[in-house]
Amino acid sequence: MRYDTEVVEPLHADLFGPLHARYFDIFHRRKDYRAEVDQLTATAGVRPAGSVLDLGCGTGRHLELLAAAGYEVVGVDRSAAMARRAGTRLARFGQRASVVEGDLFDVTFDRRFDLVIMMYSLLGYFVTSARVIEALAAMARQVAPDGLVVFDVEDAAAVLRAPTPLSGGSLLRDGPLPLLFGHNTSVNEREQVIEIVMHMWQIDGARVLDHVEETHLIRYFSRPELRLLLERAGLELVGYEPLSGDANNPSQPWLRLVSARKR
Amino acid sequence: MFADVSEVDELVAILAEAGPVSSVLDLGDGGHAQPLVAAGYEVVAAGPEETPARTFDVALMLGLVVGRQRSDEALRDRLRAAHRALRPGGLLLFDILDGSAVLRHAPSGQFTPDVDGNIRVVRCVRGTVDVDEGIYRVAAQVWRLDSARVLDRVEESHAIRFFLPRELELILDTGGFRLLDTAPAGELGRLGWARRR
Repeated sequence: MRYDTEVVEPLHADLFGPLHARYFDIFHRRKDYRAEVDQLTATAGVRPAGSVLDLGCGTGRHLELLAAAGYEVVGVDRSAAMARRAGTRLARFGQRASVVEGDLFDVTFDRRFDLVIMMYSLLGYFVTSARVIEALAAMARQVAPDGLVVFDVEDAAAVLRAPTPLSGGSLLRDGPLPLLFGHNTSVNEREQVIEIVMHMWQIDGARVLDHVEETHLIRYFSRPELRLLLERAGLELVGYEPLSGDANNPSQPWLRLVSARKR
Repeated sequence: MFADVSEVDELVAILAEAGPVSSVLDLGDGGHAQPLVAAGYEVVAAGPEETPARTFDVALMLGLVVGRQRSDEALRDRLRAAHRALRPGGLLLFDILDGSAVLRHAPSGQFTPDVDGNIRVVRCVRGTVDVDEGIYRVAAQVWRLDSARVLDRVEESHAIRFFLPRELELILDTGGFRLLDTAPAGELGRLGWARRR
């Protein structure tokens, strides 16, 4: 495998910066957060006053719905721009919601949560088994003894059987300023990753205000493989189901919601 | 069957590249070592329960032995046995079903009505992919018929686990091996070689 940690981490170091964060909710406008959160809480069976930790919370959309339903929520994101947006979104919940800017591998809380989640197929971004196991261990560290760890992943069978990978570009007009956005997406079987090369230009009339190029390498997983990875992190696979809110390919969803508990 | 992945020339090439190899242990089904003997290697065969009294330069697990194990634990036991039988730095050679190939285009059926003299040898093969368990199940019936009678009929079935590249790397790592490389072998298979740590 050529994509080891030394290759992956520098590529991913600056993802989800200010420009991406500003348009993140527009990119995910078809994502059904309500369906995802309903599935999360049904899977976890957490009592309504329970606590949820979201590692890699993005702009805080999952946490917003969870907090509104009565959960006590904490979000963590490495991107300062994302953490700031999530913090603003959750401000109205006062003490019941907070967001920490930090790396999920380093951040620790002196408490345990009933539910620890990691969404947006973030686990796949760690690519190597060693790093994936560390990320799972970070979730395991923060979950209560009888709590649940829940995350979404790209499913190998769905990805490999997809007719044609999705590539394309367009001008998004519904943001603060128009954004010329495009991506080339391919499946790299040998490295077991989806590779997305993404460009964004923020346009004001004839002027280019900002440009970002990002490479996203996202590992896809099989169920038996996750069983092994979870085991190495002290967790046990409980569930592996299609993710309800997966709106990119409604007819053939790529994402699976995985749940696990402590062994 | 779809999953015949023994590639003799490839095997000999890998061993030649591995440097001086004086001892080879066959931990497979026994059917794949003969060509290596023909190529001049000394090959010792051992069943799954046997622990050889010495260590070897190379261990063979061919015939899809890795994928035939019924559980993660059984697979780990097999790898541990290979680990014990190899010297540090020794080479494990194995074949597997390639998960990417199986998921993309594993055949769901095959029918070959071959003619052998005035006898028909009819093979009917059915293949199903169990995505949840990562297993490719193959059921085959072989009929021998002449124009008037059924001469005999044999049924066989196989359930073989397939592996994604990083899954294979992880399993080998758990067994004390570092995956060096894999090469395509047959329609759905890969030949792999790993170094004992």
